[in-house]
Amino acid sequence: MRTERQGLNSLSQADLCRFTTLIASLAMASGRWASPLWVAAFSLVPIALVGWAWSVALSRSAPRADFVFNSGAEVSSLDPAVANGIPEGRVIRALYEGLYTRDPMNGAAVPALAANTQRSNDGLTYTFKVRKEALWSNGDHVTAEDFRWNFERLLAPETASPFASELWCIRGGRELTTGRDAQGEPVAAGAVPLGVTTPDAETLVVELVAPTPHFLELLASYQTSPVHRASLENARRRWPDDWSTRWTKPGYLVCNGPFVLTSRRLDDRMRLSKNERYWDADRVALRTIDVVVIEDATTAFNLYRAGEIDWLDGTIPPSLVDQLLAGDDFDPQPYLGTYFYRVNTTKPPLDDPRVRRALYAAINRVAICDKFLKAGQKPAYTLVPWGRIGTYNSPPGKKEDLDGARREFEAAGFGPNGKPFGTLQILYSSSDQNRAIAEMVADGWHEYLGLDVALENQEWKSYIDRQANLQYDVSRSSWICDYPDVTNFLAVFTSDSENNRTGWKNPEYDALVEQARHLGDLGQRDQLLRQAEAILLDQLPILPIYSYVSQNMVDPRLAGFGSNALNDQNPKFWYWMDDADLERSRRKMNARERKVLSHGPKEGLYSPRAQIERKAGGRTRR
Amino acid sequence: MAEQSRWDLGGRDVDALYLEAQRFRGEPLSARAWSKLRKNRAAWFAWVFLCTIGIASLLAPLLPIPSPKTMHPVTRPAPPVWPWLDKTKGEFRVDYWNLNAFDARLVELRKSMYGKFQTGPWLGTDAQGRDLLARIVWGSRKSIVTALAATAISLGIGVAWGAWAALKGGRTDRWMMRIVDVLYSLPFVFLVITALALFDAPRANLGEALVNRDVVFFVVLGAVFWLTMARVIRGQVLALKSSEFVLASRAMGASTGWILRHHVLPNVFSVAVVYLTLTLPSVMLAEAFLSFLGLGVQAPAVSFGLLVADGVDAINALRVHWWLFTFPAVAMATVLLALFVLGDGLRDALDVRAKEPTTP
Repeated sequence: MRTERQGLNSLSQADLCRFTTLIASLAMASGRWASPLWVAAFSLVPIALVGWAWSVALSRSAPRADFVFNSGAEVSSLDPAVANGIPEGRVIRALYEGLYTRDPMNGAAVPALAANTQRSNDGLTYTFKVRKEALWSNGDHVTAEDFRWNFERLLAPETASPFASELWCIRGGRELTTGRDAQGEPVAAGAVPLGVTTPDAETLVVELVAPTPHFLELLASYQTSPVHRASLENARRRWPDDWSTRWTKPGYLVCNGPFVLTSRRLDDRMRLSKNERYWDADRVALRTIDVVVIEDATTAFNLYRAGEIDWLDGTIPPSLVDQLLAGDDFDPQPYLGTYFYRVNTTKPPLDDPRVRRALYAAINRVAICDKFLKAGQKPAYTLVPWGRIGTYNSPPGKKEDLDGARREFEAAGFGPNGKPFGTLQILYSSSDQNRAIAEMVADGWHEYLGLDVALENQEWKSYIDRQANLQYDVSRSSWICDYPDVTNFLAVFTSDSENNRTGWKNPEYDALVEQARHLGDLGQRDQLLRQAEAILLDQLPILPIYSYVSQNMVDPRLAGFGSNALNDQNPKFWYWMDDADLERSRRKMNARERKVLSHGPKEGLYSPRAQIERKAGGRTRR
Repeated sequence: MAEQSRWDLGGRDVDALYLEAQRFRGEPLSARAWSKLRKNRAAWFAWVFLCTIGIASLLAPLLPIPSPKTMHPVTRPAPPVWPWLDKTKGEFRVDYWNLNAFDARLVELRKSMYGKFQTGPWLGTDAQGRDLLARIVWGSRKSIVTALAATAISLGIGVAWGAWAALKGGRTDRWMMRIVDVLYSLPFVFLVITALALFDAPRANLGEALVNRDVVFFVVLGAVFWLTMARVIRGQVLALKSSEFVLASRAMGASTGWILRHHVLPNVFSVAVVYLTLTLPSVMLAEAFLSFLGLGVQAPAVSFGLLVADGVDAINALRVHWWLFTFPAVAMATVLLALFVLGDGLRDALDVRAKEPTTP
């Protein structure tokens, strides 16, 4: 999953002026520039511009929502099957709900629309009862059939969902997406029926190819949330060409989550309002949420300080981290993501593993983490962040070793008396933080290996294109997991993975990962995956640099906001504490933390259920 | 009354007068411009200032400042230290990126002159512990070189295009100038992104030379900034075209190229020079702007734009590392201001029609 997204607002005022000049010069060229019609047309332009600016300014002064958070980038899609990013996930969590969701306090998969789940003894069949009271925002019931249709849609090749391959554990899933079976033989459409059936309106039965320990984690990922079939098919009929953008428009989109989309302005903000038809609406406290799009980290931070934004998730300027750590609104926690460099293993001399080992060993990770990032990031020597997920422990990766680096480098025939190496180029996407890290890495390679290193900065889209087409030497990358399972990391670098993007192919590695994916015995599974990761860390198509921490800046008054290793937050649980509750929660915290000013409502904002409980004299929930 | 002679010599000897005329040397225009410039105090000061900056940045490897690249991992940028309170010990080491032969020689010379001595963080350090003074000096070098190269390119294209269009006249002129108009209306940033992407050919292996992004950058900037130059020159040449000496040449059958070389170019020289000094700061600003967006000069090289981008990052509601913003911004603003003042002064100095100062 991608993390950062950057862009520029390229159309400046100057460009607008130039455009006007073009029109004017065309008018003059046509020789009729003095005609009253043109004069009238040109005098209308500024008037129209002023009117437009005014209307924008007026619409901006809508009352502040109960909660405002920064999405960091405009979401690419509100269709859960198509979306594949962190900003998308935050909004989709508010709009949709699947069979399972995540407990924000610990990240565990917990039932949402599944009232009851039964797993067969062989681990191959799951039977779900869908909540009877669950409704779509237009009043339709959410049925088992909705889920069946959605599984089929997610797996269908025409949906092109990036999540489809994760669901190939369902019987018939791979055949549906690729038209081929696990051995690569073509199969006729419908020859292997999809293993999802609905015996009655509330019951959903899913049959798997092999025991899949992380199946419920998949169902808790936002990508498996259902969409409303009737409205989508209606949109496809009405707008055959651009239905995919039309059916997610406010007013048309039908969803089943705690919130509905009421308005949206691209690259500016989305307004979400409480869904009164949501089955658990009684427990939802916030009435409105604004999702704003501010790409610049410093601007977003300044707005947070001014109380205009209540939650900031993303890059905090590293120069401020040491000071922010003291406050009680910033508490970085281990996060399941790794920052690493991809190496283009198809390009000599980088195709030599000894060269890659030398590069790996000459990165000063400790300085990057402790002196530059400072928020608790840990040097990474493995692909799996923090070296462990659940019961899995990574094999110990090699540490920095400058002499070892030089030895490997000389063994490969380079170094002071060796062949010339050429210029190594580090590709990165526009961000000051990426640039600073690239400078520090380049400095190490220059100093210890004597390499000439050039940096190349590209805006997000061409950076992704260059990476996908292997048009780079070394490229900054990161991987944040979709669900907490090791296979989600290791499967990235299998030969046929579209996320591989290093040109590295290792049949032994592929076999180990594939075997482990369908193994019920967790101990044996971990063993296989450890072997696979050991191969990866020996061959090093990637150079791990650090393990992420979550970087939430959140108003201390907000409750129901957990810290979990996926940083998966659910607005359903959020509420504002009043002064008494805030005082109580602060008493529990570390005495060294400085209390920061809260901009949230002093009287708090509780869900209808909590209000009744509070009136009854009981304690607040949670 | 005696009829006055047509050649009234005031009773002087013709031969003596002839000798005097032979001895008389008209003051060349350039020398007059020079003396006028010297009398314009602001312009002269700007000129001296720019020369100093130019020499200092050219000889940057020779100055006793640290390398702009040497990092000292620190948790936060160090504030400036007054030179007389500077207690840092000299610990200079040769730590540069790809020095050319000239710079490498200068570094050798510097080592023999000062040994290990280097100045402390007189202007503070940045987030990676690099010395800000050194970065400003080396950054000015990059910015100045970029501005000079791009301006030279824009001068070449602009003068040729504008002069040719004006001399040819008619349909050619109209079309050439329409092309300028169309190019003018293209958004600058898009143009640069497209051009940079076009030149960005992938390499098969690391031994192949990288596309020199600097050169691409000069060419792209030059290709954008010749437009105004072309317009200015065309206007000037249109005026020259109807002057007697051009008409005479034409009547004697001179070709357009000959007229261009012998009459037009020498006469538009002053205008070109003035416009040049005004283009320099614009190019410098554009370089800073593009580098600020991450499109221009690529790290680890440093330029004014990159330094200011770092500085802007340091401004926030919580803690301001003021030196990271102030010093690069002041350095850049002073250079730009000096260029504008000099350009203004040159325009006055080179204007032959301007009123002579009342000197004998």
